[in-house]
Amino acid sequence: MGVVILGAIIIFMFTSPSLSGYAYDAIHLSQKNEAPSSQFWFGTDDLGRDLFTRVAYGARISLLVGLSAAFIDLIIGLLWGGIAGMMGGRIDEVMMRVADILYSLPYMLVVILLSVVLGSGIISILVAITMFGWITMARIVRGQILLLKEMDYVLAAKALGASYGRILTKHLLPNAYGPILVTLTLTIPSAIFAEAFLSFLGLGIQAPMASWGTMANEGLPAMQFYPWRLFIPAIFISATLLSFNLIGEALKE
Amino acid sequence: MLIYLAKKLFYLGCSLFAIATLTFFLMKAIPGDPFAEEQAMRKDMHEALLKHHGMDLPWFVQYQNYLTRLLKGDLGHSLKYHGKSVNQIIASGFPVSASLGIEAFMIALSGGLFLGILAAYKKGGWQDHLALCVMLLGVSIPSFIIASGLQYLFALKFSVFPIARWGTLSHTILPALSLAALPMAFIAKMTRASLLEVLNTDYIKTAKAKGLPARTVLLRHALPNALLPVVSYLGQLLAAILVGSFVIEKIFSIPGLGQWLVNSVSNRDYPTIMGLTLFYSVILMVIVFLVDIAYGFLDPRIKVKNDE
Repeated sequence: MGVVILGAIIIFMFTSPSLSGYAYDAIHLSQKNEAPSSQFWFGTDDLGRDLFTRVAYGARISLLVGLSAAFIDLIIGLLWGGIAGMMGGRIDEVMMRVADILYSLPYMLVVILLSVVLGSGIISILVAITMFGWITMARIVRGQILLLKEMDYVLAAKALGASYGRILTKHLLPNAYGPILVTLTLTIPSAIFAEAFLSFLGLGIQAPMASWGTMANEGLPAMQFYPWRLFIPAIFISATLLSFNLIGEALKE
Repeated sequence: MLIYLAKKLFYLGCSLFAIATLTFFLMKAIPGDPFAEEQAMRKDMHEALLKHHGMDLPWFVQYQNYLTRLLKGDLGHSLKYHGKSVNQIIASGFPVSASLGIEAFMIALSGGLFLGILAAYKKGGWQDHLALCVMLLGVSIPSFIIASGLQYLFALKFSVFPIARWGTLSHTILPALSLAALPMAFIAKMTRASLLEVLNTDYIKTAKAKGLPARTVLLRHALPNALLPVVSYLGQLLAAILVGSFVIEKIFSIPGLGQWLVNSVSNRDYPTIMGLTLFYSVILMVIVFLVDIAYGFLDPRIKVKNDE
């Protein structure tokens, strides 16, 4: 179910710019705020830009942000959690205390603060989202490693003289991939949500590019007369988040 | 128990210090100074302003001043609203946000518990499926979308509730509902999962074997234990309501703290952003701390584990 929705959105994302025949930033001033019609399938915005195309470009930004944030979180989380779990003792204690303290900071507030400082744009959004986003992943990785470290086959590998790095990459991580995959799948929607949230507050992607959050933000004041400007991107955000959550739940089982 | 408390207090102190330091250096990292944007300012005026705000001093002196100011509870002054201190902003906005937050909290807690218990009680029935549906949608749809959807339906199309602003009870219903949706879904999900787990344990089987009615077993025997994970979620629930309030207050034009924060973000009013962030963080962390302590009291097993 989740895969089907996500697949539909991805197909839409790649085909619709060529289907509609408009550029995402092409302005048609004579056709402002038009309702969905055969000419503009999703209607137009206050500058007469085609929403069908813009929503498809928004999909690229949302998925790009979601996937890259999840990937960056994964890398940092693997390193941090892996090292803490493998080393154990003092190092583990210190590394996890640092993670605990960072984890106790209110996440969205820090993200807002960071994006105020870093300015707008995809890169700064990614930095803001991932700077404290990796902690959940690190905790999961460490937990798995502590669990697996006690297994006999790890002891055997150690006895045979395998290095820490080799045990970590060849023996521990491949066996820990289940929970890591679930966490990864659930990181994607939270990153997409964070981006939409920031853009909705006016801190995200800037014109003429538009993410779904930006479009919803621009559509909000026009809700009374041109509701499609708000609700079309809103439906896409919700459907994407729903599909990732469904996939995550399915993977959990 | 005392050691446990002291430990928790120490980490609370560390976290508060971390967030204070983080906000300070983030604001320092912004190129230029807050007055650089105002054009046509004479150079001596500019310097006088910097001097007045103590920004001509070396950074570590500024940092020190900032920390001592914080310890006295002074969060600084707004740059855009002249003569208004951040403390005054909080005094005017916080009661509004807090009452909205409490209302949302009540809705989330009662609705979530009801849905979760119902779903576990009628596992596999249509009530369960309905509850699962609500949980999934509540987790997936961002609060700002729920808020604008509710506003469109109930205020614009059917005029059941006022569209925005603040004042009477009917003003609070739509914002509180939109704020409550996400935490409600989470609570329902957790309640259902942990109830189902508890229902499989031996002492429940004993209670059932004694011939107690199913409802008594569920509510009197299973529920108290099943609620423990839900209690530990309360801190996050509060965080969700707080963060949600930023956009909800913007959508419904509610004069609360969230609205102030959003405005100061778009005005680049740095001292206000800093002060409000700190205020929010302190509230959140202190409540998470209290929840932790309460959790220790509710579940003696945790206390034992930590004292060892």
